[in-house]
Amino acid sequence: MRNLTLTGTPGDPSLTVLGALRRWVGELRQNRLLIHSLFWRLYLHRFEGSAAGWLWVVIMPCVPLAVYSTLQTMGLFSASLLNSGQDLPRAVYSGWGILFFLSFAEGLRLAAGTLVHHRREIIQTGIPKMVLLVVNTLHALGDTLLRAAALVLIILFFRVAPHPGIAWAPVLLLALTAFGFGLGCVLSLIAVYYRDLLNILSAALSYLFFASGVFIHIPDHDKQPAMDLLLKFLHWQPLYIIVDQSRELAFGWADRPWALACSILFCFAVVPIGLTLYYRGESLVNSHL
Amino acid sequence: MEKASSTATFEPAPAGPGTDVVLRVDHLGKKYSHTPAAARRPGLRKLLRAMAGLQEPPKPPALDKEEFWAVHDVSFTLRRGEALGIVGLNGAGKSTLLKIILGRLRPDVGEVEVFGGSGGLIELGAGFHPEMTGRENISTNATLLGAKPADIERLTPEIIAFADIGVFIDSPVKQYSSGMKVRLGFAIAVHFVPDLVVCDEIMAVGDFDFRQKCFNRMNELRRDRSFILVSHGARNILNFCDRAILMHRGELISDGPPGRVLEEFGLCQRHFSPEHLRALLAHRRTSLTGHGDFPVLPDGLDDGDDATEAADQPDAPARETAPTLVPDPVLVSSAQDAPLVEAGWHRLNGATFNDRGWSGETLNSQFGPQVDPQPAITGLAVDWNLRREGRAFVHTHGQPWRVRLWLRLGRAAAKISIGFPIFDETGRMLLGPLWEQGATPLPAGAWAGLDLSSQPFPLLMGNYYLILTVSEGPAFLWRRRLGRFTVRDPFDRSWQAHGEYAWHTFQNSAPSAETH
Repeated sequence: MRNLTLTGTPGDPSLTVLGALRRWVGELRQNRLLIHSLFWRLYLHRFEGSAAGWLWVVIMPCVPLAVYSTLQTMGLFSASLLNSGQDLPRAVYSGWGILFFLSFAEGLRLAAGTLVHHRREIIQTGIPKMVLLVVNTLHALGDTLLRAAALVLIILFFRVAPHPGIAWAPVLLLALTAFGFGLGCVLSLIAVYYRDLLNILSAALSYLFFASGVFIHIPDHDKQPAMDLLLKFLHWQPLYIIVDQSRELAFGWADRPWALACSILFCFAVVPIGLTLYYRGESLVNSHL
Repeated sequence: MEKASSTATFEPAPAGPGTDVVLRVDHLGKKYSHTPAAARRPGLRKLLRAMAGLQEPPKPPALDKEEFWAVHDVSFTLRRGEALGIVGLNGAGKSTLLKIILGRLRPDVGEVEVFGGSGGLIELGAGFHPEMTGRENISTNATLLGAKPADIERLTPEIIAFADIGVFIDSPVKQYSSGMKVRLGFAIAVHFVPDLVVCDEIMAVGDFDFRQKCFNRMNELRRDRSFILVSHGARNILNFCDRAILMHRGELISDGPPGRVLEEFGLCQRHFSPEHLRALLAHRRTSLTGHGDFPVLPDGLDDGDDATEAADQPDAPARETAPTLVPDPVLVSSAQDAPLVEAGWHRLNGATFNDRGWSGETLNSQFGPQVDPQPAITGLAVDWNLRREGRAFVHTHGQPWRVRLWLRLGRAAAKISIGFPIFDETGRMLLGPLWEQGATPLPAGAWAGLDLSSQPFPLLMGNYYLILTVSEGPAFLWRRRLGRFTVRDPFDRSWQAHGEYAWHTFQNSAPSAETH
């Protein structure tokens, strides 16, 4: 028998990281069928009603990859130098960057907007909020897999021989998706009070798209002091490190393996921290939805 | 747990395993702000404090500026199998209370405990995906209600049959009318209801037949579920609920038998404060009868749009029923054999309904698929004494007008009411003779007869339709147009209804002022 007790306690501030993880796993187990059902509904049926139907499910995630790769191949076919000195076609170079950046950015964007965008469903049907957060993250992960498949085709087209380090790619993609999810959990709560946050986030992600090593290397120093500080920040932020070093790992040799390892750990650590913060405040937001 | 200062006197009973209490609401309070923008900053501050692990400083549950109590200091309990009605004016806090009970909102003060699962029949079809078909939405929505895949697969045909939306079940839900969405939503919801079912104005949805089907289903569920029903229809509360509470401006004002609470609801006015209303009710209870009994339904309450009337309830007030053509139609016989048609009488539609009527196909087309596993009516026949002229039945004004119903029940039923409403050709109901069963249950398995007569029949020239309604509590067991008949008037009067009037002549001068 499932019992429900609700009290007027404001939030759950005493919740520990371990408690939050336990609660999360329990919630996922309890709602696994619902997550499965909603994922397929949201993922496969989002283009239902259009003439091409589910084909758009495959096409749409690959559009940024295709657009940037094609443009860069046509206009800027010159080889790009990796840090390790190996040449890489621009299409592969930027395609890789786009794949990794979007695995973070899409996960974050979808998770952060979950409570605001699904507020009617939450209040009307009582659907657990975490279920929607997880479903949206799986949505981002599904798109990432499709993009990865498209990138494999590009790599095969250009006959680029990857290094064995490419085997780490799934772990790295998962780390970035986890980063987006953890951060998104916290932002989703705050966005309930200030929806402006979603617009700010959108602007920030647009900025990061061009400042996270997707298309270019970011040097770690500059002659101008102000620029030097900014570049140092961008150079050492985990998103850039993973995007840049994963490419090095796959097609050259990563020159900052420790930074990469730390970034991966950081990304995964954001999940329990984000969940703890989320569960501490989750019960407070329904009244404002 | 902080508790609000209590002015209510309804102390909750201890609850939980070992007792039959399924819901305990203890000094519940929920605050809202008049202006959401004003609530934003303190709300975020509260959220960030909770995220940072900081406890909120203890403070009395007072209202900040711009805040108001949507629900304030509400306490009650609900026992297994009990149906509780909640009445109150718009904005009384009923829906907020339901949302808290369903776990969709968190209270600011107080506590709610639900022992077992709770689910709502609220905003039916809210989770439907517009691009998916009805069939696909059944699966998703049922999962949302906690159903297992095997149960969903097993019950899907039954849900589809109950929703009765035909071939549209395989069309995208966006093509559904709002009524069809509600039908499907209700069909899904009632097949996966938990221990405590919360219904918000469920009786106001769907067309007439579907509403009856809903009532039937809810009556079935009542056997082992607890219900909370919010409705503005007094009749729904009276017929369905064992107990009712009255809410006003977020506060619980009265808790008791539905008849009494509905009477008190009739005294509610928006500008009354809860204290004012409590004082008024206390005074009225004392001054009227001394023990809180109220004789009639309050005026102005929506009592539904159908011909049903509540069956006897021990604590319901005596109600003004639809006018009957004769004072007391009585049960005239009870025989084991199927009734014969007497000389001078005609059996309507040439049918003696047995085992719930015509062929299954016809029955389905008339009433939708059979959902009651234990049919209440196993035999039904209606005779009338009208003269037959070709294919038409004719009644001449001034002659006795009589209808006889033969009824055989498949199970004992104590809340049977039988109506013979008469409609004109435009669909307007002109007469509504209604018989209500007393406390004695009608026996199962035997034919019982009910005679209705009227002399003179009040309607003059015209064509009329006779309808039969057999209800058990609020739910129709039968509702069928029995036949059309013509009334001829030997005097060829031009008006439609004619009564017997008493005239008294007297002789006097012009009225003068009374002297004392």
